[in-house]
Amino acid sequence: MRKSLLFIPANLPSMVQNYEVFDADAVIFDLEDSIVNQEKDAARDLLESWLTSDEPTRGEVILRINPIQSPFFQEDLKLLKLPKITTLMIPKVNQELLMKTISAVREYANHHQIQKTFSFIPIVETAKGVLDMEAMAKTPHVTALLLGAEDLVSDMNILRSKDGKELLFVRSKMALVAHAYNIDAIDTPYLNIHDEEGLIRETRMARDLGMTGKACIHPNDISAIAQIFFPTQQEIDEADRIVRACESVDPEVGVMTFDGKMIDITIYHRAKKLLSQIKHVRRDLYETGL
Amino acid sequence: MKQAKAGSLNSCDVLVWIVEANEKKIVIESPVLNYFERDMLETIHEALKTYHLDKVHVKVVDQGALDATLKARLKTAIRRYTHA
Repeated sequence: MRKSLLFIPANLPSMVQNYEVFDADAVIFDLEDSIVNQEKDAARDLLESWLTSDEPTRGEVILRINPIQSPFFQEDLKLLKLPKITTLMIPKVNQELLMKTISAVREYANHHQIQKTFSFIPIVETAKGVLDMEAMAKTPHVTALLLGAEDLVSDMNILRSKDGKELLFVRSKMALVAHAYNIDAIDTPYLNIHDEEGLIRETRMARDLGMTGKACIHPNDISAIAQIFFPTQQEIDEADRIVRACESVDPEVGVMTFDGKMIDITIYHRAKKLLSQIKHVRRDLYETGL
Repeated sequence: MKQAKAGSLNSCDVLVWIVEANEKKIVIESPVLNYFERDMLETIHEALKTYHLDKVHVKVVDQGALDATLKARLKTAIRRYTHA
């Protein structure tokens, strides 16, 4: 599960060289909005120089490429050969552009004999992208949707507010769609890097709506995001006790009581899912018992 | 006169400047020149050799860049120079 994802401008050596130090579940090397047009070539060269090793990294490595309709797209594809690049983040897409992008990536990979299966994360940041969310979510090899709030409000000619009411529908829809198709729903980065209170408030709201993770643009935000999306010790303990209790009785029994509450198969599965996510995310902390 | 630049003066980066000349000349400014001059020169000579450039002046202003960053900036600067 990707809970915290850190954007790293691909032309910034001070961050690129340290990408493995950051404690995010994934780093997103950005070739798009954080790189001015005349430095796109330098950013690609820097990544190519730093990502040569095929040794496994602690977190996932994601590459945000430029949109297929931009003049930089074809050059970006040259980085597909880098061993660590297996997930591509696709900006400013709707279903039609996503399919064109996936097709172009596959064609390039086949032509250059790159033997890898790529996964894709479309960024929902246009009104058409919002309408196409479900189609994109069920497209093979799409493993997450990311909300791109700044471009979306710009596309809709509205402003962002502190309470995020203008994004309520989009976040809710994204969470719903993502859960329906078993992929991640990643919230937009919080851009005010000096406002931790705002970051916490927005991250909690995203979590409460069903989003499964949040992107960020500053390493200082990783810890707060990870904590908010990680279950509390109380939730973990309760899930553990529910699973143990359910597995100790006859599987034919449909319901049972636990701490005075009725427990059915749905609650059992939810508890199992929570424990399995924890094992996946923090294997180091939860090696035993769970 | 043909010339090109790549990189920046930000921390951990390096600015590489290539100018057309009659002969090869390399100038390095770096806070760690005493320790790494030979390594940096080797990287620069190797890059120029790879792209068959020998009549250029190369100025490198290092801000603590690691070797992978220097290689990347040289590659960008040389490509920009050859396309200038």
